[in-house]
Amino acid sequence: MDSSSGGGSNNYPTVTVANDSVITSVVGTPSQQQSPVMNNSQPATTPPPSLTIGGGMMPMEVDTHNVNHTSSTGQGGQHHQFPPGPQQNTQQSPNSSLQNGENSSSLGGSGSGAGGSAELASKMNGNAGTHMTEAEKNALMVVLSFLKKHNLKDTEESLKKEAHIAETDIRGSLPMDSDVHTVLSSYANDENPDEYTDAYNQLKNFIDTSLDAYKYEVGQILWPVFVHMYLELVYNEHESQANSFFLRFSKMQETFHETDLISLGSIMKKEHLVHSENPFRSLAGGLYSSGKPGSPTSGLYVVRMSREAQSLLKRFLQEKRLKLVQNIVQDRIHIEVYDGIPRGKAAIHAVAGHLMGEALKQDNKAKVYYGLLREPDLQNVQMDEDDEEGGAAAGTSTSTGGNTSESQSAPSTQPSTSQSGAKTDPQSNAQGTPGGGEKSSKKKKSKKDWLLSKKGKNDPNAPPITRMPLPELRDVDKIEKAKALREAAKRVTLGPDKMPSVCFYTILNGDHQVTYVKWSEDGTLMAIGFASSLIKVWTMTPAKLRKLKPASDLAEIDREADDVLVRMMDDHSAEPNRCLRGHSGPVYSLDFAPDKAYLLSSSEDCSIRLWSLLTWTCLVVYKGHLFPVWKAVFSPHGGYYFASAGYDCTARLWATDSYTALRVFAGHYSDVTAILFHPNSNYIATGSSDRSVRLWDCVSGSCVRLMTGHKGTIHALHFSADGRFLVSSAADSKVLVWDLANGNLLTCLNMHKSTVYSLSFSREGSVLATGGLDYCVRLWDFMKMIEDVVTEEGGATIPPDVKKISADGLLIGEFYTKATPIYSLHFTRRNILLASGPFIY
Amino acid sequence: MADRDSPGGMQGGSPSGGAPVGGVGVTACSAMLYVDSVKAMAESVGISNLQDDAAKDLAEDVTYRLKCIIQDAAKFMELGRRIKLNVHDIDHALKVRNIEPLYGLGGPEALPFRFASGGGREIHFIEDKELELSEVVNAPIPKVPQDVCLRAHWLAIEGVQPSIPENPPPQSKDQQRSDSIDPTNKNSKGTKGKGLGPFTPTVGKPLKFKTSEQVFVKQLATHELSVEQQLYYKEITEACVGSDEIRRSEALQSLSNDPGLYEMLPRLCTFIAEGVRVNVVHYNLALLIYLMRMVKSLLDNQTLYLEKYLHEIIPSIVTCIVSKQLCLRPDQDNHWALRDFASRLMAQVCKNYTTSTNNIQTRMTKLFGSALNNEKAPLASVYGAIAGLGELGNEVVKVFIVPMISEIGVRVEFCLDGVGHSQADKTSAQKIKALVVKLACPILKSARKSPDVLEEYKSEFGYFAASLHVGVVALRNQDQKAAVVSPSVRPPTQPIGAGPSKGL
Repeated sequence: MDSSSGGGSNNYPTVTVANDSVITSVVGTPSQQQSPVMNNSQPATTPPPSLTIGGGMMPMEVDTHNVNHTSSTGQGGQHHQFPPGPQQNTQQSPNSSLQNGENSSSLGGSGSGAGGSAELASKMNGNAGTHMTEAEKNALMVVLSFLKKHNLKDTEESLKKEAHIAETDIRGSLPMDSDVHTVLSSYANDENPDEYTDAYNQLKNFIDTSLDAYKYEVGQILWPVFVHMYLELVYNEHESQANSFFLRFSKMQETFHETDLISLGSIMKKEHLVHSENPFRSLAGGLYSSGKPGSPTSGLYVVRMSREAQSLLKRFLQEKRLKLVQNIVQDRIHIEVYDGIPRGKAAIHAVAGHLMGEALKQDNKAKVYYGLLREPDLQNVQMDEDDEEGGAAAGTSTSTGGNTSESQSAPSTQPSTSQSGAKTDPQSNAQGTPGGGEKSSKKKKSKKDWLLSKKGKNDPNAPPITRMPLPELRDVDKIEKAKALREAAKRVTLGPDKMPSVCFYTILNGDHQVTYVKWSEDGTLMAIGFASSLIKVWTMTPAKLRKLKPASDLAEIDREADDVLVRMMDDHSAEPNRCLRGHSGPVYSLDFAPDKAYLLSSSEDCSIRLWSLLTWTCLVVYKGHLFPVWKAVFSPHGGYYFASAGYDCTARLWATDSYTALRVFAGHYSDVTAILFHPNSNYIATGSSDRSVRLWDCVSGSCVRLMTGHKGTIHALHFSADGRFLVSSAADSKVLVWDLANGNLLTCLNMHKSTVYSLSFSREGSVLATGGLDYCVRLWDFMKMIEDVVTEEGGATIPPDVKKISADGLLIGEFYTKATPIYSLHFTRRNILLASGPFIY
Repeated sequence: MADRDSPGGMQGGSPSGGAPVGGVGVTACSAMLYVDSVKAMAESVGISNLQDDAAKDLAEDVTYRLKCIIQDAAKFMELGRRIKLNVHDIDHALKVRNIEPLYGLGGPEALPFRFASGGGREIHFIEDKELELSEVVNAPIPKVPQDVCLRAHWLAIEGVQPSIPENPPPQSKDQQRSDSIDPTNKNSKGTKGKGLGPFTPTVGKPLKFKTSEQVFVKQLATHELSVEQQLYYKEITEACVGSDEIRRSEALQSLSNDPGLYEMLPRLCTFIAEGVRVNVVHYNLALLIYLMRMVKSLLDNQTLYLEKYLHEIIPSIVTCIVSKQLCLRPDQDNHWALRDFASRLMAQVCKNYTTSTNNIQTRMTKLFGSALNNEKAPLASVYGAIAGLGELGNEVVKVFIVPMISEIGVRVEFCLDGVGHSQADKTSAQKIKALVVKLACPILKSARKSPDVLEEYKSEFGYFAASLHVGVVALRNQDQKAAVVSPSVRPPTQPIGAGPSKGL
């Protein structure tokens, strides 16, 4: 709802009420504008057979636009409208140029070609018929090639006619499917296959016998040389030699390459290498590239070494005349030289593991505004909020969920020594007389003022407020924020001397079906995703989950009544938990909107769904991804934007009121498995099974940070409270802490023994909690972790040395469960740690 | 990773190397579908003469594709936050490749891979029974599975993990074991594990101590029990020795299942030791039995490692086995049951806690042996000693009891046939006789060859000869009969005594 209409004392979220009536009128307009081609081209859900064969040209264009949902978000004035015209254009230009770069490079793996079409769609919605840009043309070509492949001649013809494309345009303008062959053909040579073993052996001996100072730096090239030699042997059909080469040298590789070796080892024939289903084809084609697609280093494995080490290697290669190794080093490895002391084993290991080697210095050059946005002024709201509170207190206590949650979250076995904050939770506010409530709120005001003044300072690193168009705060949001502030005043400041209480919610009878657990920001709601495609939402407070009354009943309600919020809800429908059904595959992630009115879910069925937690129905199905969607998250600002990440190697930025993605972030070389908005909403962090963490600028669409060091699929990301640090956890059971100011690795927390699936920061940011499949919640002293960095401020240019990377003395607590892996961790506003997971039996 | 190759699409196929267990690449590289299995599959679909080359090519290609699918399926497993690959993961991996999933292969968790060999071929297969449709249709509807629900508990309260059943025991059994073997270990670990408390130093410090060779001062263990624990202790001990049988069984149940008893163990053991000491003097048979049942519960508790408290427990048990008098009216009360029961406990202790350093079993055998040899020992003690030895296994019986049979026989005979002996002694003698026969017969049966000549028995075993002879012959007959009926079923050789509570 827009703030002007909702002025006055009774501000209530009329969103959904209005939605019901508006939807029917809104629906249809976007899809009617679709061009007929787009409507015909795609059977909505099932991917066409060519998808996997299409190579680099994943036809992502079979997109969202032709989906005729009858349930869309309210578009007309319900949500915040993005200023459409100029906004759209400025946003798209950088993005589309990025896409261009990708397409032309043709090395970008399966991610390329995705964005252009999405752009196309949005353009077609808006200004169809005008001059086509390069990106649009490319997209059209993709569509045409798809039609051609499937012999859909009539459609092809009509599309050509409509778009005024001549046959000649098609040739050459499109990277054809055969590009894989051309990329691979660089492997073709007529070397003696028996020389490979010898050459690699010499290289290995040279490295083993060289000085310890350079050994590890030079040793970095062993892995890429091994991979390329093996692929070369396979490509030239020297199968037995390839096999013995593999058997002999695979044992000598670093242990963290194990999974890669398994993948690599399954490629045993030339056909496998060119085979369209081969997931490792990109390994040979473009997987080993780093940096931005299209850059000179694209397609190359990046190794950073000191000048001395590099000259040592150079000398060796020249002396021995190992042509085989030389060729690979020249053509397929990019050596970035730096001046300084060569790094030791630990330092190199800390950043190794990414499929494409290390991140280049220039990848992390761009400035990142990691500061937080200025908190909105809540002074005015407080009066409203007090009224609100009074009104609610007069009725039932639905709106006091935030307060009651803390006491209710304590299980019945609550021992006498429980956290003081939780115990002394004054419920008087909600239950006392209105007069009493006012009194206490006045007292609190002074505290709040103090908090406000603290937060009100402008962060020098914060992005300009206008940098990214953010929705204005609605009154509901403001109330929520004020409530959070009030809670914050009561919280316990945590640290090594003041440990948090951990309340564990065990999910029983989960039966290996639970896939995801998510807490709402205030800890009052908990959503569980199941492999059976079900979503269940629990309330943690005595306030049960109610449904909105049907429209006919709503009309009869006196809108001016004080307790209209309560009256809107149907008491007969109150239940402690509710199911949301709609997906047709395992639900892989869930996220609550900040105002708790919406829930976002992503699933194996390639769709993202937006659910209303007032009507308990699905509002929108976003179909943009053509493969399973691993993660979807809301932006912390108003729940207008959301981002998704999927199997298709892309991450996407969406707005709730648009069918199509606003941005497609392509650049990862494998599934994007984790995604998170920066607290200032200007950036998105993604983690992938290519073992890199990237930070993307939502405004320009470019990748501004590339962080390597994980040795397994990344499963969770979390920003520190001040927005400067990023914590990531992965299947390698490590938790890494990154400094976004320069992209450096700060610390590696390696006490976990299995995949770490959940991360959470205490509200003031001093304690980091991690938990995973090893049945253990661990608490870390985050202040100690970052004390060096924060004090020196200048920012070291050299990656931190070994001492800093080790996790000594940072662990301040570990709590094992009996047999419950930790799927979710969440600090409440008062710093009680909520943890949850399914009991495994 | 070991799971990745297990269930799913490889019906009838036999991966040669099995699942690559943690091995680097090498195993993955060599795991191949057998050419033979490809041929077998071809035969099953009606292609009788598949060329060797074709089969080899097929095997390689199928292996490759399977690997691709399995690796993709592993992705779905990982994102589904499991460590077990299941059939649906394979289905999803197929779906992503636009291949229709294999329907009907979903099933209960963990399909067992059966192995069969014959005709020179070895095959792994999944059992796939043919179902009668009408049976399926007419079968009663299965129970509705339990709905998913939540249960909350405190995992930690201000950094301290409360010992409640929901939490794992504060010290795992392994840790308790290593502590009892190496106490210094505990110190270093103690600080590490309990670095959680507010004022303890961080983890880094104890390590530094080690390098600077500072002497470890054994920390004084604090044996402070929380209020809850004190209450629990009171309740449990009262219930265990009280008169309410229902409460007692609940208390014993709690003792044998509760994971958080570690800290209370010293007190409980002291309670038992003291209780036995007092009640054996007062001949309070009932209480002794109750205390032994407590010992039994503690022994059964999977989370406890009792070694540190054996010095209290063992004397108590032994007392209950060989004490010369355990009840006020030895001629009437069934103190035999207590001796039998305690003997079994002793055997359990020996089995669980004997090590090369403490030699519990050896020491116990010696103790019982000396009681047996003691001419002056009352018959009740002799009975206890025999029972105690009998529980320790056939070998012990063979070495310690069988050579003594004739000597025991003399005493028993003297007692039974002589005059001037109390009724109690006579009962003891009879009990001993029965017990010796019961224990010795199976041993003699295997040690001696048939035919059994009564004369030989007489010369060797004296008084017991006749009963032993009868017993052994009966056993042999039984064996023959059993052999005729079913070769595999053996008569139980272990005597099953009545529980102590039944006797009362």
